[in-house]
Amino acid sequence: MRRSVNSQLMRTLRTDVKRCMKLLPGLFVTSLLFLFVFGIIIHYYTSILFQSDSFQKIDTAVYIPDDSQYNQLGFSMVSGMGSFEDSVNLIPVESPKQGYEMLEKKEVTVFLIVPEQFISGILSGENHPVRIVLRNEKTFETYVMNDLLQSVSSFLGCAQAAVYTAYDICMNHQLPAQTTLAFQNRIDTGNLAYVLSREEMFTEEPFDMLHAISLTKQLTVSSLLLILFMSCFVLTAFYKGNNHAYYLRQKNCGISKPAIILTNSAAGFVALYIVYLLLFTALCLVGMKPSLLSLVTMIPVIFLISLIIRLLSELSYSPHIANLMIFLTVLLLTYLAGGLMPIQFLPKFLQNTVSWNPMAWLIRFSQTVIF
Amino acid sequence: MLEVKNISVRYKKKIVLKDVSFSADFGQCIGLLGINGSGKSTLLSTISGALKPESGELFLNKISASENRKDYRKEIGYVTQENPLIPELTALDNLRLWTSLSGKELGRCLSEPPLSMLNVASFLKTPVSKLSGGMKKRLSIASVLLGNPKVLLLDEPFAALDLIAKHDILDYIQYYVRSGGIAVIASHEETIFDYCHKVYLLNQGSLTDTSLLPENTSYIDLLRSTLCEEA
Repeated sequence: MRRSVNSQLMRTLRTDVKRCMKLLPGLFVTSLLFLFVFGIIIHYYTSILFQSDSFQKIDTAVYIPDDSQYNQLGFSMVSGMGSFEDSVNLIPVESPKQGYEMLEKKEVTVFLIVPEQFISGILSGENHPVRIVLRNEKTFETYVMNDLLQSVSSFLGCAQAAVYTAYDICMNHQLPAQTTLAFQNRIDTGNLAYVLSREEMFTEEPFDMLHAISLTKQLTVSSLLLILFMSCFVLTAFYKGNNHAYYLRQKNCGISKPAIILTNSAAGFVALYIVYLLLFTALCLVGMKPSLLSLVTMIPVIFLISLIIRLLSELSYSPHIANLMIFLTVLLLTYLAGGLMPIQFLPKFLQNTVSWNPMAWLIRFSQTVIF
Repeated sequence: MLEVKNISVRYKKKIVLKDVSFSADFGQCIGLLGINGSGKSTLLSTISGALKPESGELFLNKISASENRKDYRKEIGYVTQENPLIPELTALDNLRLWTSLSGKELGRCLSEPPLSMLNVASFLKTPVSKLSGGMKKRLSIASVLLGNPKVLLLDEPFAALDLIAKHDILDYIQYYVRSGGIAVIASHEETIFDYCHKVYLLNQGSLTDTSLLPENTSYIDLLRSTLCEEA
């Protein structure tokens, strides 16, 4: 009897797969349609997020008194620093009044007033502070400027401390003038140059080396999962296609409803896997380079999708209601998982729900296996 | 021998079947009469083994349905009122779901007597969605008979069928009974009961043997009287 139940189960699976194969044209059309729509969305979405002129240099007025050539030298050094060059547009002004006027007219975001004898003050240890005037508003630019100046100040402070420490050591040990000069050269040309050089402070590593994923790839994975979920709009007709008599007949053959749900899900998985092959090919064609291993590692994800949709179909009265439920549930969970836009853009209280969101885990796992 | 002993079925708080008992020997046809909602389909589902009774026992050739449900079920063929067919597949695909026979074996089996009486072989390659109601019912019965059941339960087998289909199906049932099977038919068709060895009236979950009722009482009078009782 066990054997006959098993053979009935296999026949049910075979029939279910056959039914799903009849839905393949519809599945292909649906998935291609969604692929087209999501492709356009991702293209424009990422180009908006990463457009070349979305970040502008921060216009900063600088007043440097003419009293000291050291100040001019310092200005040249700072404006030549990599970190300043990339982020700040330094505009020299002739008087503090001119700087304030520019600030008021919103021509600049920040106004720096360098005191008289600034550089010589550093060397003598008197430390005349630079005055930083910001417009009375908290913008992204003012935060960047604040952090940037704080970093530079810290770097210069460290360099200053090193210079004084070296001189103190030389003086206390009464070292010969030549040795002291050698120390001075090493500090000036070596250590200070190191501090002021951005290129030596930071090394850039490719994302792949850190197993990190770009926003485009993250959106691609989310879209891919959404396409697989939405393709199930076609499958719900199959999932809800059995009447009461069918279940009764299967029950008399020893096949329980959970077993039917599993065979349905397995057949749905076969159809969805073929759709995944199509999507995989599309990713290869657009140069996204998905991992070949994902053809195996995505199997549990695709089966899970099929099973979830089958269970959602079971809960709903008709295929239309099932589709509506799938659409709303999946879209909402994907949004809350940061699949439609970076999590950082969501309100804080929604960001806290990410660790409880199963879709977030599904997206994270898929990201790891696909890229 | 099929024995139904003191079967009671309750759905939520409503008693659907109350102490139902009857028996049928091999080679007998049993008719079930009753108004809509009287519990005919529930009784057939219970006899088929799909529904567990709250109390009572079912035996087929001394095999108890409660103790040896799988063996019991194997011998029962249940043709439900609704057809358990998959519309997008062909008639052959639908039949292959319920039998381990290959396509060729099936074709041969259906084109030879007794199954040829159902005329299913002519539309094996046609999708079920394109079949008429009569063809679907023939297919539904054929799919059950492929399992060679000893008991055939038929729930409204003639509903919405044309005369030819009714005739063919009735012919087959008669043949089936003559060959030693037990047929239990629930129907609203008065004529079918002329072919039955026993006819039972199901009223408010209780079963009455119509042969024990006064002679010359027509089935329509019986049904009217049950309606009056319910009112």
